Amino acid sequence: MKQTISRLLALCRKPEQEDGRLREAAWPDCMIYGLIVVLGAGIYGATIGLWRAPLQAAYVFVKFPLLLLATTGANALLNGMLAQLMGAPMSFRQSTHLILAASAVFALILASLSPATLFILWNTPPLAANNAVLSHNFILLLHVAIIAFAGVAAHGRLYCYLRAICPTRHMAAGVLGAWLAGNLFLGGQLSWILRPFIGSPKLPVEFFRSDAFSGNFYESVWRALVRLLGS
Amino acid sequence: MTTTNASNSQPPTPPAIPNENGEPLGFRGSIESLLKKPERLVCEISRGRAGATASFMGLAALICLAAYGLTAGMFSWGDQLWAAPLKIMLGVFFSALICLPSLFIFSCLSGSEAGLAETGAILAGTLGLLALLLLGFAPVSWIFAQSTDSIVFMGLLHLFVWGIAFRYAMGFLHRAFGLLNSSRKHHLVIWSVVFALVLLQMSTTLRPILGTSDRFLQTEKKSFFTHWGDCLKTGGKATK
Repeated sequence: MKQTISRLLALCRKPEQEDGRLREAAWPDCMIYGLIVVLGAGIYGATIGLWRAPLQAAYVFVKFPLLLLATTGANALLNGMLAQLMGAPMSFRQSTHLILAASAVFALILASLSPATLFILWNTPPLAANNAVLSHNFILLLHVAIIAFAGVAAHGRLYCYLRAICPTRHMAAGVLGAWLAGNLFLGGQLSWILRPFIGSPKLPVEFFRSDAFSGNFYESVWRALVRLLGS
Repeated sequence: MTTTNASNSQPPTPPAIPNENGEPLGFRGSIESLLKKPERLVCEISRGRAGATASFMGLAALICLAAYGLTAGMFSWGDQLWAAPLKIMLGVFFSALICLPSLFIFSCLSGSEAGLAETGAILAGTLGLLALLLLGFAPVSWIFAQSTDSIVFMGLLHLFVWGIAFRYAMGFLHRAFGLLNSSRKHHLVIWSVVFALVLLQMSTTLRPILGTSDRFLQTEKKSFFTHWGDCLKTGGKATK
């Protein structure tokens, strides 16, 4: 366990010195990264749902890691192919390993911020308060800011890992861009299916919304844009 | 790989600083180093004396915060003479505890080789410097506390004083991690913002620190910004 933590911290500290391990892409490492994603993202996920209800916290404890792992798993083949098409010298296992390592860093950052998030949440007016919608919006913005920061930091790490393996900076940036586009595209839709995360004050606590599979994230964004511009 | 593993299992390499005899600094030496030569303190931490340094710094911070809190409590007197120091001490230490995990991870992301114990000691040093500077401002805040009735004015004065002390304390934190091979400083800057927000929110959670109340703590949940907005609207006058 101690060695596992040391390896993960080494990936955070000096990714450029870890190219041997990144190239090796051993299965035990992948399992460890997966476990960190489950625990780290799960803990943070619980803080996301806690404002709405304890049951919502339990649901998001499961759903948030599921979102990350499902996105990585569903795009594993595509990401491996894109990397190889761009000339990056890596196998499917290596590409999945790199993305899992970056997801583990993402989960680790979120988990480390969980106590602070929990404290701020504890000080937010509860669901029963008159200004529940305002609190909901504040919590939404808080989580968006934290997740965006963790995402940027984790992708910065992923770029360092890619730089350690790819022969040129240009290639590393290209692979990162392609992976990012694919993961954001699928991740957006998966997060739509797995909603709610925070939980609207006016809607019941559910694992999935009853209309989880009707419509999609992009249609919803489009309709919102049309409404906004039409009004 | 071997090098990295070795660096994780042992304390980080002591930074290159002017020649030292390697003797433990002790309480007084640690306080002096904090103000005059922070490098010596970081060297002490990286020599495997993180626990002792953290204890000295923690104790110094407690004493200084208690004294500063007393001057804050003297604005309202009565129960605030013990409540304000207690709240300030608890608030600062609880905020540090909440932010320690993120500081450790953010310092790792910045490239620092400090382990959790060393990170804790550096944070204790940061609190020590923050509290020392607050103690330096204590006479100023006391004089104003005796001359005004306005909570808003006193609140702004304390925020100003905390802002200055916080700026120097963060300077120490960045320098300390810099000596432990931290090269990507923006992670630590972001952590500083998180810590500042937690401290500000803590001041609202533990209210009233200035002014009087029939309760030790208020039960109404409020964000720092809402609380300050309300204070500015009412322009509160305290009963001294």
